[in-house]
Amino acid sequence: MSNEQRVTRDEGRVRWGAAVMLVLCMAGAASAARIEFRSEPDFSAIEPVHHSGNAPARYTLSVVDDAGRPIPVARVKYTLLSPPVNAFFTSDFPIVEGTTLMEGDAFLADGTLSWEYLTPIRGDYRLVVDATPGFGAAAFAPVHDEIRYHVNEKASNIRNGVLLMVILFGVGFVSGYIIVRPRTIRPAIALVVLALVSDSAMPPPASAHGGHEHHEVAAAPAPGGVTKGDSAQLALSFDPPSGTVGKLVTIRAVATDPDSKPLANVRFTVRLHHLEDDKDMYTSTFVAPDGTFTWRNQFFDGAEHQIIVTAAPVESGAFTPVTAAYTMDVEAICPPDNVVARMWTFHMAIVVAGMACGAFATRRSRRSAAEGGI
Amino acid sequence: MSANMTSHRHEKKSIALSMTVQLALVLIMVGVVLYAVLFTTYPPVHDFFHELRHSMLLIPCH
Repeated sequence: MSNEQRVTRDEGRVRWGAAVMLVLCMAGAASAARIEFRSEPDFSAIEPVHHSGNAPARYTLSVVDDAGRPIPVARVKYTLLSPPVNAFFTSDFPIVEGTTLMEGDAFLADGTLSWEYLTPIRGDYRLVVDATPGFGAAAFAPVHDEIRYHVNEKASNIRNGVLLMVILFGVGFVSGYIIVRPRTIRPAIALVVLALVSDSAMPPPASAHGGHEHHEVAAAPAPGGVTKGDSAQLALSFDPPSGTVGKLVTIRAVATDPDSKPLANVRFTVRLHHLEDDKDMYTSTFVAPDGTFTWRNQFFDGAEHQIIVTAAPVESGAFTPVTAAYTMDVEAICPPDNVVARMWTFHMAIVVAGMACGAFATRRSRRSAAEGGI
Repeated sequence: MSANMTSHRHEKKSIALSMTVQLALVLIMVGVVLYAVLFTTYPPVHDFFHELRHSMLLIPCH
């Protein structure tokens, strides 16, 4: 081999080595992304909705690098799953248990996606996230993560539930004690009095779940179809057109110019408003490079909701923001009969246990009195 | 006199129910009240007690 051939071969080896090093470096940089998920307030302070006027919690999903810096222009697909069905005890929304609450596919222009959401029930939620680089973003290896967080039951609900059990046990105990012991008073009259007393000891019902109250949303835009603005138009579509508790509704919004050409770099703001309770159940902002966003949501409360979508340019001045709205009926589903039967039986079992204890207490006191008299 | 006296046998019948029946009646009464207040899906009753049900721990509502 001549010296020239030897040099050429050595140069080739150097170039190959450099290329391999470059690929390895890129691979190392590509695997640096991770997903962060946090809430405000902290997860331990979040309580279920319960029509109680709770403010929505704010959740933030981020795709960050090793240094914790958000990676701009990442794309995430996420699915929020409700707590699984409990074999023994139920929440107040049994239809919602073990279902998908929302699914989204969003571009994170600044590496984060935030939303405000009223959580339906207590329990362990699961957020499944898949993150990939968005167009024009720095490369990173796709990331898959399953985030679990727990929502505690409201302290007052726990207190009321325990109070109810104590009352039922007390009713059973007193009735068992009175009925089993030798009659000194008319048991029937005593039990009627007892039932009236126990009924009045129950917490009074709050304002009714009115079926026909109408709450006006200020400046609510015209519902459905295509809403035309000065320099843009917004089309909303829903599949199915009405919601059902426990099932997802696909919400699709397309922002176009007056010639129906899709607009680029659109920031969509989505707001779900519970008309009966006059409060926002969900609020978020999506960035859509192609002017289209698709999102799936479960309306977990069987009441009318108003869906308000606003399309605005990411770069101000590109077009005039336009807002469209749609009033969606949501069909409520009664709790399954087996769940109702199970919970009713559980509470009645407490009464029976109280009766047994009351009867036992009577017999024991009678036996003690008999032994004392011997 | 005693022959002319009509012996009246006053039979006192107890109208008191047996212990078991009384306990059963109490259970039925409590069960009906419990179901009506916390479990029935009959709309007027459901709407009236709606907030109460959501303020409890183990009461399914929707």
